[in-house]
Amino acid sequence: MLFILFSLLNYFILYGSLFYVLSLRVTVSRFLASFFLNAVVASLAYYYFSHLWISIFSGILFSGGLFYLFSRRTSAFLHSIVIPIGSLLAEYTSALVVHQFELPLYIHGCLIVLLLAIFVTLYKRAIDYYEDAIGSSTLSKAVLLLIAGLTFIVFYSLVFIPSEKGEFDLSAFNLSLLFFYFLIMIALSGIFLYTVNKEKKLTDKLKEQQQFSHYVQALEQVNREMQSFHHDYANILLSLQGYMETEDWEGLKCFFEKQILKTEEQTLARNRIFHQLDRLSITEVKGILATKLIQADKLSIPVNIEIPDPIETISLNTIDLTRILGIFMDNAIEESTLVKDPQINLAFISNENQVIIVFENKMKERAESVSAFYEEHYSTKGQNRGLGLPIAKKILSGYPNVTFNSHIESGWFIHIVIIER
Amino acid sequence: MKIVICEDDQLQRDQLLSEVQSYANFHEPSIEVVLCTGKPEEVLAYSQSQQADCYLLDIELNHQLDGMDIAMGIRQNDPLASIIFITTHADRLKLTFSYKLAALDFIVKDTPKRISAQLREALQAAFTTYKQIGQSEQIPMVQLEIGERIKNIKIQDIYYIETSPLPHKLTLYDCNGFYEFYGKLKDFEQLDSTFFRCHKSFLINLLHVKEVNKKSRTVLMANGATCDVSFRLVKELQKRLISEQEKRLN
Repeated sequence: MLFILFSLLNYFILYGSLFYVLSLRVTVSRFLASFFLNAVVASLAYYYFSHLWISIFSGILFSGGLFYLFSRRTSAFLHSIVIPIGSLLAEYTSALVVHQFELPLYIHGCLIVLLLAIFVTLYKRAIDYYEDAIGSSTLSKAVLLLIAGLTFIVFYSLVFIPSEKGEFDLSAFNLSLLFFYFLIMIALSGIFLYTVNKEKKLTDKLKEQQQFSHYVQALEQVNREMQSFHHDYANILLSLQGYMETEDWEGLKCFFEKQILKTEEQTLARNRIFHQLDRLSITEVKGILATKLIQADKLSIPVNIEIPDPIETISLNTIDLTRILGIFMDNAIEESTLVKDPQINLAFISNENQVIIVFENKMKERAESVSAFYEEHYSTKGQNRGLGLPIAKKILSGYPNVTFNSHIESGWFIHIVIIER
Repeated sequence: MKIVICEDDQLQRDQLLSEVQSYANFHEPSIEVVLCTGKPEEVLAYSQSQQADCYLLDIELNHQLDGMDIAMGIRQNDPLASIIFITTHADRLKLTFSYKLAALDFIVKDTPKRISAQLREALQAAFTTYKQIGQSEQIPMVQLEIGERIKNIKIQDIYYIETSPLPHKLTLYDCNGFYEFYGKLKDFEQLDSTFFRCHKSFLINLLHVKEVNKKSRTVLMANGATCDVSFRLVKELQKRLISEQEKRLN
């Protein structure tokens, strides 16, 4: 009876914390699955009572796997090691306290739960803080898993092996040893995560710089074109003079329309677009737009950008913003290669309390509805293409201040992102 | 329908005026030009004291106030008026016109013949919206604000509305796409008798249900999306669907 009660308590502590740390919603099926798993582990512990390690290690492995299935996050394994470490510490500490002051059993239980709650809350905070650093590289996951695994093995050999042999003594020395080891491991993980974080920031900075250099390159290109325009200018004037002197008005008209207007129109248009970009003071956005504009220009897809008012900030993470703009642009360019008279229009419109990004491109007539574009793995051409839009939607859905519309209207595919300030 | 014309070039102004008047004579006698001027201040002053239904604005007015400012002023005084821009580069500011100023239409300065064709179309559109404002709304719509622009979606065209994981955000799906906005699903339940709240996070339009999957407790909608149905409501959903079908047959 006590055993069942104990395993129930264990269940709520361990799996409750896991649900909490992974921010998973507790549904009936998840509850039942984890409950069943716990029952399996408990019966393992019952049958192999003398080999407690079997149930402990299989418990960790099973719960890690199960929560990986729930959340699709590999960090589930890490959590399912760290939380038992925490509960071990909590149990040990409270056992010591209860033993010292000879307190009743229910205080023992409360103390365990309280300590563990504190531990788990702190742990979740740390995890959320370093989420980017942990999630971005497999190396950091592997190292953290290694540290956690080692800590657990050390704890196990310090606590369980002696207790199985009956040589276990509950002492402040043992506890301080555990804590000492634990703190060192935390410090090590902290230093490690700090470096990883720093490195990530550095690469972000590098990316920003790259985008800026793209922008500068684009500007240089425009500048060169303007220079060549100025260079031709004298020649053009001379030819014009020639036509005028001979009073060949038809020839003049023809020359003006064919030579001057046609060739310079494109340069001027490009110039105008870059002039519009001046009103955006977000370098990374300028960079990505400039890069994509040049790409579209090479495919001779006309792009029009409207930025009627200066925009200083957009309340959206810059990396996310450049990512979604890149996705929209790539999609629009890809689609534009399929239509006869392509056109891409883009506008950044600011009001008192919001910034609206409108993105539209001409699209081919299709049988599929818009939602098809937002299904993962959907693509019009082969596999692994057209993955962008679901990603963009996912990124934007994480912001409470952003609404995202996407629809087809008389041959235009239109995306509108509204960002409240 | 009262029309205000603002164009700084005398010649073009006269052309516009005569175009509008000839359109009025042939098609809609109720159209009258109440002001025809080259000075933007007069337009603003007019919109402050009186109401017009349609403004024809030349945006490159050689004046301190540009067309943008006037349009903003008019919008403040008269949010329902139709604004039509006439400019050489209208296409370059298409999105700004519609999302920032909620302009009805724009006319690209071109050959006189093409201008008049565009003008006729724009006037027709302005007259239609004028009539719609006059009538009480007959077709039920859901209105979404996108900047200054208002997007109307017919209630019968809505496939379903879904809550988002973040609070207060809803997503509406129709045949053309999806639209996110702030609101509560509860406020839409009474939209129409064909709507059914089949799940905590889904409000579906029964007219657009393709099939019900009892096993996985989902409904397949006309756009190929699936919505969850809560365990308790599967039977009621089927009942409602059948009664909806009967209603349509009768």
